[in-house]
Amino acid sequence: MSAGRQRIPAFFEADVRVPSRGLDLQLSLEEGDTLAIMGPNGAGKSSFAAAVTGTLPGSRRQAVGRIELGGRTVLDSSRGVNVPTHRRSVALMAQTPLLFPHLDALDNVAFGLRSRGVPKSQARQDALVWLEKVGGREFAGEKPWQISGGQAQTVALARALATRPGLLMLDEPLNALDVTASTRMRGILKELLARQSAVLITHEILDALTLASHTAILHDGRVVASGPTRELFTRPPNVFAARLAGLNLIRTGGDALAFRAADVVVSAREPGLGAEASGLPAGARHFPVRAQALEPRGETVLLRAEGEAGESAGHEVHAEADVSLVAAMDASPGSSLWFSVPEGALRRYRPAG
Amino acid sequence: MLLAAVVGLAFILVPPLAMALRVDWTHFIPLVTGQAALDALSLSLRTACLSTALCIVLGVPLAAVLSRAQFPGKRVLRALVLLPLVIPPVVGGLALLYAFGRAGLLGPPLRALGVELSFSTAAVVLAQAFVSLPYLVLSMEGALSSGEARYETVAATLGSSPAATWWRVTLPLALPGLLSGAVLAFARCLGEFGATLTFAGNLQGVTRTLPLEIYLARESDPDAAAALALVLVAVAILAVGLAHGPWARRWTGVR
Repeated sequence: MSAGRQRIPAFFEADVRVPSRGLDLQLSLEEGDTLAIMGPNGAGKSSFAAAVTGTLPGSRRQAVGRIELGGRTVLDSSRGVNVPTHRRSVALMAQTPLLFPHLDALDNVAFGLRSRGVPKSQARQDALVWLEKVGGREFAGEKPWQISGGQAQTVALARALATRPGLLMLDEPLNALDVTASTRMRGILKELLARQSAVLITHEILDALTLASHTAILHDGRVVASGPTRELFTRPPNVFAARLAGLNLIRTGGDALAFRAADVVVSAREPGLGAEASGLPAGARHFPVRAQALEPRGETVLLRAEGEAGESAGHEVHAEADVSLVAAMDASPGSSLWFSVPEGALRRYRPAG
Repeated sequence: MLLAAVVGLAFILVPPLAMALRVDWTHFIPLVTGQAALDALSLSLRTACLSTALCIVLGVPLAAVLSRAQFPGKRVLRALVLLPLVIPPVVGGLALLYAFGRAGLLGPPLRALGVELSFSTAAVVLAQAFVSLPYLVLSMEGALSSGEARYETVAATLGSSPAATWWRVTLPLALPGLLSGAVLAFARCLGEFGATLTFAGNLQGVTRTLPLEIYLARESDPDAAAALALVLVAVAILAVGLAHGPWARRWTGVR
């Protein structure tokens, strides 16, 4: 993922800044791979997508820097190169299908081919093949408002892929779908993205783990963590990756300790040598913390706290505890608590990067 | 509330009904097929069609610029486009005369080109297009603005050039708006009176459109005036029906 240090350029390389949005990203991708981009709202995910497709709204919101795709320079602001959207070969699939309402499903899929001057009958034949690949043959003749949201999204995928884009930009493609439709769509994407170079913007770690070989995490317009997806979330290098993976992370010198909020045992008093009394196995790690917020989640409460001393000092740590337990401890923001983690639930590693 | 609505509806429907009752039905056919009446009807239909076409040619690009382009003074420009809607038609006709008339601003250069506009059928078309243009621009701009830009972005990422996108996405999506705008403009053209009389005059078969004929006949032949007025109402209803009928929806499916 290190952008362009070695001189064999990757299939897709972006070094872009959008000053008006505080965006400054270096990302790359090998041919046929999928890169997931994650991060909180406002981190710059969609601005990055717009910079790559060349669709940043407004004339003053311009992207500067360089974008290379398949050996072609798509953007190079230092040389005044800014290839218009329709010649970039970057297909966009967004959260909403945005099927053309005046065309049926088949003609929607054929649209990109027709735009390239492919004759109508041949474009439709090709489109039908793509519709079949997403399991949409039976609604080929339906208008967009006659099919379900999930079906429309599969048509949108077929439409994007039918143009055989150099890069497929997927901007939260499963976000608007219900559980059944998104599960189905994830399966279709897994199959069709196998050899397609793609960037997948998502806030679901499941999407990243299933669909993307690599993941980059954005925060405030910068890449704060990146690497092979599985590695990134099992051994998170920093708190940004850890949070997305649902893990607490405590750095101690060069080492990292990661553990799940659900594995934390909360107590109001310092667990002494007789810790077995509280049900803790011997050899647990204990962190003194000060509670900051309590978020009820049905049967349990998510306790957000800050480490007060020792190795956890200054770290934000989360624990999930029973409602009754939290009530019995009379915990409230400001309370001093102890978070204990059984040795078996601790992941200890030396983080990469 | 309901009562007020009924009164409002009655206010619109009673006058045409009263007119229909006033019509001498036994002589209806001869009344509306006199030479003067036929001349006026034919002139009205021809000029209204031409004026509507002119409105489309001039108004669609104007609406596209108003809805898509970003530039300072856009609000002022939009207000100026509405000018013909709010100034009295007679004043509009006078303004056209000062612009395109024989002694007008553009009169000498036009005459040098061999074009003589005032008191010709072309002047009727200009007068009608002048007063009707805002209807088409407003309607078309509304159709272009309502979220259609997102479809254009998608089309571009699918490799469609701006020109191709305009013809294959923007225009088909805006077609219902264009259609209803064209119908409104057509109806307004049919009814044009003040600007036509002022700028184009009142010559039978050349510039005397149906409204002018009706106004003239009102003195000399009230029965013919009422019958012709009813024809005008019928043509207008037919036009509006064409635009809003059940088949109009299918037109949005044109490729």
